[in-house]
Amino acid sequence: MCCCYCWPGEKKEKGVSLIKKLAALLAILFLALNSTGCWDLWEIEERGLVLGLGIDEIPLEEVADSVGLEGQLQEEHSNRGVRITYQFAIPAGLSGDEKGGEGPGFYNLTTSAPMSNLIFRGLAATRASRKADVEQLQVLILGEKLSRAGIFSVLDRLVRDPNVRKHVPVFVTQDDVAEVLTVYTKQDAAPAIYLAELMRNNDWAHRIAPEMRLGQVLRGMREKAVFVVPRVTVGEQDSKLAGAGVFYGDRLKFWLGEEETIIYRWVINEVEVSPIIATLPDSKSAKLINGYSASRNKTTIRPVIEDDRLKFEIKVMTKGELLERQSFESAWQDDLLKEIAIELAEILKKDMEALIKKTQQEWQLDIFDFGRSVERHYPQVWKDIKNDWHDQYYPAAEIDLEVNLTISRTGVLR
Amino acid sequence: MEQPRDRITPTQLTIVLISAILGIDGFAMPGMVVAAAGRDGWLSLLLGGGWLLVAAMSLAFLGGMFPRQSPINWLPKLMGKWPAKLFITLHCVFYLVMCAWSLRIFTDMIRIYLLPRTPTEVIMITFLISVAYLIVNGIDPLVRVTQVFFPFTLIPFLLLGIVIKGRMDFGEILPVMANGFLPVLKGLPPAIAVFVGWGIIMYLMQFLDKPKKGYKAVGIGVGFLLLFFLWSFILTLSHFGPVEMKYLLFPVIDFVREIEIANVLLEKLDLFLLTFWILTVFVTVAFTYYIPVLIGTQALGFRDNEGLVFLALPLIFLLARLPKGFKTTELIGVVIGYISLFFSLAVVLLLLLAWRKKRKGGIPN
Repeated sequence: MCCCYCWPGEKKEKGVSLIKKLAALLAILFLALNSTGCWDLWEIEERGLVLGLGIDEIPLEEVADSVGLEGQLQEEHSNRGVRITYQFAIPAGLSGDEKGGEGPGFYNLTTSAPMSNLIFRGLAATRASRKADVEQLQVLILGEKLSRAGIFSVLDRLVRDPNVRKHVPVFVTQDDVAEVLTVYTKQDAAPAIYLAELMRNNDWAHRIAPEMRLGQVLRGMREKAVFVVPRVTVGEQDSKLAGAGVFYGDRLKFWLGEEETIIYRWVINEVEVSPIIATLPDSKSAKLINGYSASRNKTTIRPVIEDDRLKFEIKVMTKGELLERQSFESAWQDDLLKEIAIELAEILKKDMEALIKKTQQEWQLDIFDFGRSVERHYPQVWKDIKNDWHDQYYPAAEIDLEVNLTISRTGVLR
Repeated sequence: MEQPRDRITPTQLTIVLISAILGIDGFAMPGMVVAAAGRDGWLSLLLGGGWLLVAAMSLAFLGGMFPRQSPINWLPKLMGKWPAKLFITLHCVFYLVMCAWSLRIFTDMIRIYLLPRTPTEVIMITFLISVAYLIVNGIDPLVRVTQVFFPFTLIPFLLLGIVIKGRMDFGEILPVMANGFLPVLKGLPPAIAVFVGWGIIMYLMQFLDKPKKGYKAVGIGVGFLLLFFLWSFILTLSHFGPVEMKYLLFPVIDFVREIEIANVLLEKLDLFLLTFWILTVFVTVAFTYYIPVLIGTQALGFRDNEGLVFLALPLIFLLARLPKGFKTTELIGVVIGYISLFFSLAVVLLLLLAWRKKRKGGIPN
């Protein structure tokens, strides 16, 4: 009985047959050869690392002009044309070493076809020598035309692929998508990386809308919800990330301006550090300001239903420093500080009310997701009103806004 | 060379239970529970898991009543000779199917996420041969290997402990029971199905060196799993929301994929999750392979496992290759879940029966 349990490598007793030895040897060889995983070997030098994808819609007629689409077998299977720009990484250029290549760390490949993302893989492979590897995707940029017509058909292929991380930040732009992917500053190695890094400023610069990841976009589309995607605008030397595009379901509807984005963030409680500026009331010659920098903020929203009327009670609590005061007068007095605080609160309140009103009246779109708070507190009511929420019940809701602002410090001067 | 001792401690039992049950259904579970119960899926998990805790501990009590005896010995005393034989035969077949099903799901997931171009047969055969080699030597090496793997299998737990910054809204579980109690009931089958594999307790109790402590070990194991599944459900629900989760095949993997710490310092953590998950699946397949072999060896009076192990190998391989697509595999999983549910009812009834018999006049040992 002992021999049967001998581990290979131990001294074998006499009596282990030749057949058993051979069988063991074969088994070991078989296992060893198979465990190297030859089938899935894809060396990193052979991968075409895709850093960024830019997708926009073009008229179908323009598609026919692009390279390589002669000899179609059958009718087009879609009536929409799409142009997609890949940003491939050139690793030598990215490393920034002296030893590394002198050229840029990336190159762009633009190709167009009737709508199907799956086709693009083949088309890109006819021009790029390395097969595209989308696991390293840093940014996804959507053009305005595509966004207004509907992005679901384009994004579905991206999210079904297990290799694409749903973690990719998404941007929307009014400019040419291919151009956005060419502009970058010397601080970063490639436009896609530049934009991804720029996005990280959003926790400090609130003109940038909160990060919108591909997974969140997908979720917004599935729930037919309203979501806000940061906007990028391209310039000569660099790009500007500010403002946002408002999507409903899978279509772009409106644009949020830079300052509107700041207020939007106040309402949805995504403010970490934000300035509020108020004019000094007693300045004679020029408009001088008090500048306040919020550091601890909280916005709470509570729906209240009274007598068949829906009201939202919004309370904003913010504490911060007075970091700019364009007057010689010292601010180190309690009642003066209180006055300034009240005025600053008034300004914030007015701005917030103005934005909410705009979304209620002009846009008729609940961009702040107030509907969700109604669902939480009054689920039975929500079931009845959710189908007409944006155009009927949301515009009719009352807003009761209260801003509570405290100035705790005034920098290092009195 | 030491003889296998054929004894396991209660701690080892807990570890085995956790490793064997975790892994197969855990990744897809949040999606299936949400599809059935919506936001209130956590209540289904709580109720279902609670029930399963009762059933598992009943099984431990049953085993404890007949220390060091295989169910082949004591089941006939409770049920009668032929019902017991039928029950055990069906159970044996059930575990063979479950082994094949686990193997199939494992292979499918490995092919999707890690090795898309490797042939299925290669993955399955290498896996089965490794498992067979381990099982041939009896329960002791098997349990020791599980012990060795256990710290690594805890790593997926740790990964789920990391909460993603931003857009994690724990309020997604509200409003609670907005649609009444029905969704919670509908969510019970998938919630109980995630614990499938708990029945191995029945055959492991005979090896316990302290049979009376079995119920504690089982209680801790199932309790831990319940908490873990509850937590993973709440996390994925808070991140994805109920609507999207219905569409995701493996919400847990997608969740871990999106963890990004310190801005790109640590990302793509799903690779770690998948790699260490392989170890738990190994344990699951090993035990569901071992149990039918054990039953067969004991029932047929063989001296050691070798023969049946190598007989079962091609059988399991063929069974694993049988389902044509993922939908069929999922359906088999649903059926297995329901069978597991009925089994839990049967077990509790058995326990009550045993208690009654003991009180009446004792059972011949």
